[in-house]
Amino acid sequence: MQIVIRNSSNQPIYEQIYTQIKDLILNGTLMEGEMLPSIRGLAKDLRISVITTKRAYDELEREGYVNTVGGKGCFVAGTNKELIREENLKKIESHMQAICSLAKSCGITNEELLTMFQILEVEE
Amino acid sequence: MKGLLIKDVYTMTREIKYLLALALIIVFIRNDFLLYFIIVYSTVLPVSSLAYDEQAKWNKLADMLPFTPSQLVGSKYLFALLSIAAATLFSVACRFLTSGASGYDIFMLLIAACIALLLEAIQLPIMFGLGPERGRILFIIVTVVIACSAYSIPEILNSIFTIQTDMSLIGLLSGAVAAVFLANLLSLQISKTLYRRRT
Amino acid sequence: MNAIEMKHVTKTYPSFSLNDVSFTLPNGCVMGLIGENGAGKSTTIRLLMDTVKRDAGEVLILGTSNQSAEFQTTKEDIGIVLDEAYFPQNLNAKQVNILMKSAYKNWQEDIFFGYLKQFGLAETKRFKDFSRGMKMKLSIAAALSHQPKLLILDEATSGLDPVARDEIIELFNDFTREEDHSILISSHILSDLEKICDYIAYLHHGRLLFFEEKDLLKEKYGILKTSSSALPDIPEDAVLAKKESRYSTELFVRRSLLSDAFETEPAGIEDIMLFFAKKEDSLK
Repeated sequence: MQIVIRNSSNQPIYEQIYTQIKDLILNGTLMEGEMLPSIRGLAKDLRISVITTKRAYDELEREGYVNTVGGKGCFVAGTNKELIREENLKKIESHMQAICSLAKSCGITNEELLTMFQILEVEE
Repeated sequence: MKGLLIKDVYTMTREIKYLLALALIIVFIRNDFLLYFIIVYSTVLPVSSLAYDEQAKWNKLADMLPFTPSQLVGSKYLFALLSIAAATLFSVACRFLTSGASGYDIFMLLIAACIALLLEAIQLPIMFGLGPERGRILFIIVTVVIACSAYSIPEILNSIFTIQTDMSLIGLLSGAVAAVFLANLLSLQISKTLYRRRT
Repeated sequence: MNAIEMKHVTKTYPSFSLNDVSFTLPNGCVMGLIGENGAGKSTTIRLLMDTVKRDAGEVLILGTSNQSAEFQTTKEDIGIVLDEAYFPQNLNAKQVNILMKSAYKNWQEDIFFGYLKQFGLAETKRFKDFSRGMKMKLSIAAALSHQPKLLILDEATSGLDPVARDEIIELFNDFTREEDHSILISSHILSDLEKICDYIAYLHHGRLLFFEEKDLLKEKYGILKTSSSALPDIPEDAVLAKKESRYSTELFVRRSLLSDAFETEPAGIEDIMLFFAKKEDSLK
């Protein structure tokens, strides 16, 4: 498992960990029941703050991606399809927002966008 | 405490070497005055070791380590006792080997050792109270006094001895030992109090 | 349990005073104490170890009051490195081992000599003949060789070259892999500490200007670079400081009061320190 922390990024470090672990769970790299590295171990390996790492793990737990078993560690929770679908929908929405604002800035119409999308689909 | 004592010995290697060189000279030139001088001069060791500690700021660290103030102060007194004892033992042995010694000669050397210990009992609290930096001037004065007293010890003792002819050597010596013991005990307590207050 | 609790500690000298300093370092965390030379870092450390008597306040180290009799035992669990590495000058590393063995009950020679080897320190070279970096390394080796739970390090990385510094920082990083191992490390150079700290405390002229979680600090404040014409759109209360040049304006902002539409850059701890110091100085 790979986690890359960028100190220069505008995204807070805890969010970087949260998103990356979440993505690893959603794309199946981390399987249900798999144990996550310990908070302290991960923090020290990444050379980041323990508190920040804990915050990311807490967030993951709150969102239902992982379960903490007292004394044993943190495990990937059973992901339900609904959750993944919802997550992906959210992502698509944000991409679309970006497309919309780009299109608007140079006066590309919705029809033009649609044609572009159809061509892309055919190519794939 | 053992570690602190060993530290002082290592710190003072150069000075100890000088003293050994002096001892070697004494063996060859058989000077009476030097036999007394080396006893009183050995009191310089604990005092200079304090100055070395201060220079290295060792006590700033030592105070934060699990040493107690009693150990830090007490080890200097022990170092003083051992230095003076070693010098006295050497002088006594020298007397025996070079010229054969009478009871009177040995008695006088032991009295010199008592005077050295008494001077130490006065010096150490001053050093602990003022710090070796400020105590240094005083230290020089005391050293001069020590050197002079080393020269005059036999004379002083002779005069005491002629005044109080009825007093036995043993009686005088045990009185001196008791006085030195009490003075050092009191001095140790004062040093400890002063040391604690300096922080 | 907390590794260090300092509550309203005050100490006044004729020419300098440490004013009402309070902070709590939780167990298992690393705290960086930053401040200019003369800001009061060493005084703070002396007050922590009670080698300087405070005028007011309270200090708990590993749960023990530092003026109680039990503190003598607590000292066994603390590893100390001071600014100018104060071992007696004539001693060599082997003799330092003997000395420290008599100081700490759980002193471990093999660990100590292991570090000496790791750091490439000669065992029989006298302390005074060591370079500053070597002196530091010897002190760090000594501080780590009695299974301490808390390390108190005063300027332990200054004077080291970058490679050695990285090696030392890694060592501290590994030390805190244990759940109950904590570090307080002071420096006047922030970059030395930024990597390993969970908390940052900033001392300035004897006052603690902030004590905060490092990453939260970075999230809280940001830098917004903008043109002077865009200034009216920016909420006034979000702007903490302003630096104007001919071509652009640089704002030090509180991010929470600014909408996401403004593209702020993360503020470095250095920027944050500078802001707090200027604010404090302007109040005088």
